Amino acid sequence: MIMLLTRLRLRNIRNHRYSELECPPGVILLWGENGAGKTSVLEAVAMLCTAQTFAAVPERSVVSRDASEMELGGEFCTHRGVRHEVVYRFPRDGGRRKIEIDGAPLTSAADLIGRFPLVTLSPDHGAVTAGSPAERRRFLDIVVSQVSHAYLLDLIEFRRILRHRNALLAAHEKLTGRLRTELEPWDRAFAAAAVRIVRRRRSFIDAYRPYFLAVMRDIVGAREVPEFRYRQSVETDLEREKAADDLAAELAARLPSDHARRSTMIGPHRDDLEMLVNGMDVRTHASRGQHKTLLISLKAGEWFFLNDHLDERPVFLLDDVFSELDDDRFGNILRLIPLLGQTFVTTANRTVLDRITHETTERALYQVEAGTVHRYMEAA
Amino acid sequence: MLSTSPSLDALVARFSRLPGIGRKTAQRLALHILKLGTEEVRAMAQALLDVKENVRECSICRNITEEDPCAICTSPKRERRLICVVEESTDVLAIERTNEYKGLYHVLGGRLSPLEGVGPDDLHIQSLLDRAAQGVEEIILAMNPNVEGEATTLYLARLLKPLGLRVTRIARGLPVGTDLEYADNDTISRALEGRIAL
Repeated sequence: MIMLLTRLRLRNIRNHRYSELECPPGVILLWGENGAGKTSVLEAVAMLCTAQTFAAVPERSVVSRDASEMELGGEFCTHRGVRHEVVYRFPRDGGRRKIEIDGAPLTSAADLIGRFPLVTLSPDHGAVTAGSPAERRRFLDIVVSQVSHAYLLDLIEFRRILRHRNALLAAHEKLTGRLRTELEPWDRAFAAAAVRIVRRRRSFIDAYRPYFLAVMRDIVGAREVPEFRYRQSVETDLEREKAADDLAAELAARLPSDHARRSTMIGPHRDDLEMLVNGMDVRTHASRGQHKTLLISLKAGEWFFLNDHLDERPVFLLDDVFSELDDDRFGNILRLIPLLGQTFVTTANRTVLDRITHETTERALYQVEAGTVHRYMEAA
Repeated sequence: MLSTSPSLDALVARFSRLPGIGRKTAQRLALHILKLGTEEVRAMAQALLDVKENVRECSICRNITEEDPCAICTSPKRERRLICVVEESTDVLAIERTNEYKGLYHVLGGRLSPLEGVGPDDLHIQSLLDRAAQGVEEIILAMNPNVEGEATTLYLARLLKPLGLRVTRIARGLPVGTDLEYADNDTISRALEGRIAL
């Protein structure tokens, strides 16, 4: 048995007043016009699994305009056959989100992450290969957080330390000895968390690389040999035993420029995951087609990696990825799907609907129209 | 909403300003007060005033007290060479409940938090340094286990160590009564970090 999201309820999310879906194993295809509300269904799945919208939009904007609260419900069945019910509520006006598992409220959204693993591929993720370093850090953080709860806690802690440090830089008009004394404990805490984060990112990259390369080679069938490197914002060797002390010293040495900018210029929040094809940076040297191939390999590789490293088989979300693909790539992804677990697919394209209908065996077809979801009847 | 009692509304509004009290709880409390006898209500009002009138800070340890210095600071049974530094008075109550600790206390009145604009001058740090210089042998830092508590611990340790006394911190680890297998990774790794020789 594999982990499944067996049932999904949506209330007051974008244009959905109330929608309910049964989700069998295999492909769940959501077909409908642009703006019908297909992506909202995937967003609901993403929030139930990871407590995050997948396109980095604020949650408030997901709640229906005229509703006071959004409520999502998901029934999961683990590979051992244990059922869990997740309820996710988000008030439109300012309040905090509330998440419950089996009726018990979670004190922190961090407790949800990693329990029901998820991989998402949407056109917005194009930025992972083509966009700014922040997009690649986000990619790293989301994957590593799902396999390591300690990493997630380190990350939450690090972000808080960073905000304190920057607040202190901003509060002092002049760079004085006093500022140095007050910064010192924050720098030490910053360095300790930073070292743990960077080490875990590096070891993740080494463990993940073979999965990514295998997908690239065997499934996507690319001729190019890609590589990625973790690029630190500081030269300090963070694998050394006394790395935290070295990094704290580096922070102290760079204080004049950090203070001038009122911002911390080195650390894991400034690092990058460099991607190269044939030795060239993909951001500047890859074609559109290469970007797509890379992105699909990254995400499918992520799926295979998580599948090997977690108890549960991840749910896969494919948001409108077929429409832009040429025939070869389309066929390649279609061949990939039976290997994956439960996969939610959205498309506005009739051809995609027909091909998935003909070329997959386990599937459920839904038509989405103006915020309502109903079973799509296949022509006999 | 049409209200039939402005007095009740005012009381509800007062209650809902208290920490941890929402609108509904505030209403329930206010209606409960309404049902009490006049004497009971008067006693409650007096208790509120007394607390404000009589309770102050101990000039030595900054704990809450009615006599200055407080009963802990003046007690002959207390070990005077030992000071436990905590963030708030509630932490003193927590440690006192154990009946294990026989030293003195020092209440900082918060923790370092640049995000909230709390710096060293906003805490009772200078008075701690003054006390530390007067024959104290050990200072135990007992801050909360979060980033602000940790930074406060590091900051104080840096100030106290040059004074030539023993500076220790309370251990972070597994809660008593739980099984290792159910503890979260962070707790386990911190507990491993703080392991002690047998």
